[in-house]
Amino acid sequence: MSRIIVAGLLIFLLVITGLIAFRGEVVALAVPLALYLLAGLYWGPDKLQLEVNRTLSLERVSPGDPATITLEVKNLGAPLENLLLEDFPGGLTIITGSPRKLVSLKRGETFTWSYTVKGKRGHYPFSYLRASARDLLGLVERVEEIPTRGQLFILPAAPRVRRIAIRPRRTRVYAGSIPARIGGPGIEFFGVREYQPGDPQHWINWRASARYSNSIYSNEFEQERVADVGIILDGRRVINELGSGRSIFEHSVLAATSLADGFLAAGNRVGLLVYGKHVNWTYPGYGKLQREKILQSLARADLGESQVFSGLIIPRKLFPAYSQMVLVSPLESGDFEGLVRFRSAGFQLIVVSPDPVSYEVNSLPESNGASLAARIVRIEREILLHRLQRTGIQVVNWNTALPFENVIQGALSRPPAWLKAIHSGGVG
Amino acid sequence: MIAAGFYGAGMIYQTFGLIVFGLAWMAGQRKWTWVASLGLGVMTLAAVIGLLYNLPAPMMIGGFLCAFIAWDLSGFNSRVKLAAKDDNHGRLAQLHLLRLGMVIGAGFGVVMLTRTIRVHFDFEMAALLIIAEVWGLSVLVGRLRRSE
Repeated sequence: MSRIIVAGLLIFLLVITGLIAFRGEVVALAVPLALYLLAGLYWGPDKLQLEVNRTLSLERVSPGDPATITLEVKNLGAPLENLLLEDFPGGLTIITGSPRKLVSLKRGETFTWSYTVKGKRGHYPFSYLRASARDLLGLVERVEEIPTRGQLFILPAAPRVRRIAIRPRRTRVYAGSIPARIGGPGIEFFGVREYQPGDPQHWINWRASARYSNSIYSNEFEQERVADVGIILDGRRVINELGSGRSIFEHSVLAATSLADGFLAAGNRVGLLVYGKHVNWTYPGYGKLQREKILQSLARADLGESQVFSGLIIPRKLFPAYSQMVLVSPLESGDFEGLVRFRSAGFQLIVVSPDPVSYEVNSLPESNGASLAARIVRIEREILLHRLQRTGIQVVNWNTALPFENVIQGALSRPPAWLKAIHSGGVG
Repeated sequence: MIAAGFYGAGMIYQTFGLIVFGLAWMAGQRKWTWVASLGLGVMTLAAVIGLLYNLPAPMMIGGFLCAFIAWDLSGFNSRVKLAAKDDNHGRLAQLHLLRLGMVIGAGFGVVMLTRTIRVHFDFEMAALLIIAEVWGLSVLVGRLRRSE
């Protein structure tokens, strides 16, 4: 109950009782309370006129790294005797300092304070500072939310994957590292064709030319170009949240981050779709700016209530047919049809699947029942993965107890081209 | 003080009840902030009953003022609890006590004055004063609430 109401009610009852009983002392008891209320009215704070500036030591950090938030509050109005300033770093852990301060501010006075936070992957906007001013007796309160600017991205930290071998049927025109299935300048042998003026001399295939007296033949190499790569991060709550509130989603985010980084580093045009709370696209692009966009999108990624992939449509404007798609998902049996539909639409599809079975088994106490259940679920999962592979989908089953980069290097890398060239050079 | 007044008049059960309530107030204060408002209400009621039973007025008034101060300090304490641990509350506490002292001092002075000044009025006057009190109080509380 408001303190004003309590005091007012007591005054009312004291005066009524005193007048009814004709007792001056009872009425007199109401005097200190009445003076108290009058003091609150007289010294109560006026409208708040505060100017707030917020600065962050860093706007993008890795999970667990500290960031210092500094707030500068200037009082442009009447003096404030009892001012409580509250900042709301929702979801972040305070390391040092406090997001709340109780101060007195004279007219024109500035108060500055800092606190340090750390947190998990995410996007933390700071949109306002709450200021509540009271008179010294705490009767009259004025509360305002003063808008401020500032945001903190805690970006997912991911290991770097050096080389991911993909072979989409369609590439873009720019030179890159993806074999383009087109003859021309390159490293890998592609075929033999008739010599054309301008071909370098060392391209001439003397053995083939010797067989035919009237023609010279040149070797042709496979062009390497950049490709369109779409990464789909599966954020469906129904398959990411496991028993006892544990979630495998952070592993999926790590995998998506690592893959996006690897593909962009190879010069590809990469886009991201987070399929969870909303269908959230990061439109395809190249380079460091695109990397930043994807990291920010992954920082925001959250689980959602979407159910199956059947409702998911990949716009052809973003990813033409025969582009490379990479799905990062723990998978469930109901996904098979949706993925086959992707494949039949012409996309080259790689599925990187953090293994929810081994993830959950690792957290369970050992028992016969649990191991039997794990065996059954594992068999079901292996059947699903096998069926996907038979439809031409490349599947990487990632046991999350193992480092992602090792698993992906083993499954998706190929020896560097220069090493292959040495071997084909016929040293032995 | 109120309990001492009741004890002096030989009202043992009431004294015991007030002491138990006072202890419960102190215990509950740490957990629930509304206990202070309840405490002030009960102590005011006890002071009024004491005055109506002609128990020593200084003790009743003094006890009521102590309960009032406790209620105010409870509100201040709950405000200070919201602040950071490293905030300097000393200056704020000093200013608060100074203002509270002014209010209580003035209030106590007026109360003491009423014990020396005697005004006699009839029933119609009392009724008029009640109406004036209701109106004045409504205006005061209304203005305070609006200014929040």
